[in-house]
Amino acid sequence: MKSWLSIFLPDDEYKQERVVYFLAEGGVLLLLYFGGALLINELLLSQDFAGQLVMLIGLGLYAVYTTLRYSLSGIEFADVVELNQFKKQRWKLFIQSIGFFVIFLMMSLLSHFDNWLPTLVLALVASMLLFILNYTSLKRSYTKNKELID
Amino acid sequence: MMHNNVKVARIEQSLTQEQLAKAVKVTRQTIGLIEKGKYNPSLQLCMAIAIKLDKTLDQLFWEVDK
Repeated sequence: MKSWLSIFLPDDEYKQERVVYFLAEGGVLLLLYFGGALLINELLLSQDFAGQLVMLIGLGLYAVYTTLRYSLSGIEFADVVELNQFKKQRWKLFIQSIGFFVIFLMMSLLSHFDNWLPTLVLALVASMLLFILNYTSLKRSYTKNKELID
Repeated sequence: MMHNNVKVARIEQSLTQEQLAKAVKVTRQTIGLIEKGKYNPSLQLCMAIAIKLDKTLDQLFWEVDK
C-alpha cells in the first residue's frame, strides 16, 4: 500500500503489518493521554491556557488527519455503485446534517442561551462542514466504485 | 499489479460482484479491487473466494506466461 509511512516500515510483510498496528495503537494511546491531560489540567491544575492549546492542537491534528485520509480515500461508501444509490445516500447525509444541526444547536443553547446568534452561526457552519466532508467521501467512493464495476 | 482470474471465474459461476462479496463477507469494492489487481487479498480471503467459485488457488491466482 502506498503511504509515506512506508519509509519507516520493515520490508518483511508480517513485520510490516505488526509495526503498523503498533504505530496505530501508539497513536490512540497518545490521543487518550492528550484527552486525559486536558481534562486533568482543566479540572485540577492551573488551567494553563498555553498547555491546553498545545494539547488541543495535538488532538485536532490526529482527528483531522485521520478523518480527512479516511474520507478522501473513497472507502467509506464501498457499496454505492448505481446513481440511485448515490442519490439516496446523499439524501441520507443531508438529513443527518440537519439532525446534527438541531442537536448541536439545542445542546449549545442549553449552556449559552444569552448568546444565541453566534451559537446559531456556529451550528450552521459545523453542520455544513459535516455535510461537505461526508459528501466528498460519498463522491470519492462512488467514483472509485464505478471504476471497479464488473 | 497482480493478475488473477477471479473475474472470469465469477462470471462462469454467474455471480455478480455483490453476490461474491456477500458470500465471502467483504464489500463489493474489495472484490472490484482484487479483480483489477489493485489489492492483494490475504490467503484466508483467497481461500474463501476459491471455495465460493469452486476453483483452486492455482486456477485463480497463479500467473502463467502466455
